[in-house]
Amino acid sequence: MNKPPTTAERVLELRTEMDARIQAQRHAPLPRWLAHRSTRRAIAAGPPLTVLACGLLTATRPDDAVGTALLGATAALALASLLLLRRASRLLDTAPDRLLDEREIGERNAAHRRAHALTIGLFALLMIVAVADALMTRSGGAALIPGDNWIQVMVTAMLVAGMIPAAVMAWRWTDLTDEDLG
Amino acid sequence: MHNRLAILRAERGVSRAELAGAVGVNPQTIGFIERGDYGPSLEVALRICDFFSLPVEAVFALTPLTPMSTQLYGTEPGDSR
Repeated sequence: MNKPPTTAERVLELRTEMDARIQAQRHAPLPRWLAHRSTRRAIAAGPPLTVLACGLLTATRPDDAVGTALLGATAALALASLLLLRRASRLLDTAPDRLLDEREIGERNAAHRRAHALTIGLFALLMIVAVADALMTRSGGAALIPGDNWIQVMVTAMLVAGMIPAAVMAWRWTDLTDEDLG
Repeated sequence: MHNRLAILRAERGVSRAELAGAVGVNPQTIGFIERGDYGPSLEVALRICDFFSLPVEAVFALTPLTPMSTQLYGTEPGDSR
């Protein structure tokens, strides 16, 4: 009678299955329209900026049902964009190191460095908005971000920050040849 | 970095995937190396040379490589005999 697998064997089995699934997704042929740098760059820049704009617009509105629906739509857009960006960069930002070769690890690390700088820039921008908001409120003017809407701003910032690494990878990728498209 | 990977692959009928599998990189990386978009590490370069059973200087160079026909027969492009 077969002995049941030990926990270590089961973990190894699951990891092998997951690696095979990730590799299958990474090596699946890319659609031709994703092969061109101009398209990938449009996908890399457009959705994060749109999500940021939608989130900030939502935060400046009164905290009502419409605002909540807008924030939900923004989150859905962010999620769909993230999936597309990961597809465009062949899951480079999520694949474990053991599945990447030296060039891909180098590309991913370079993209993460750039993404880190962009994320710092995003939060610096929000810090400026926060200071401006506080100054306007103290001087008796209307607040830029009313009520508890800073929560929406932070949710938006987190969504955009989550998209930045994949967006940078998609932005930096060179054009692919027919053979690369596999 | 310049290299003769594409011509060596064509000459020996080796696909990118086969070479990539033999040296432990992804097939796209072979394409990047062939186009000169990526300079491989010493380890990968040595594995590639080992695969083709050639010395490093026959496959990789810092300056443009002389065409193999010129090296073999001393002819330049456009020469007629």
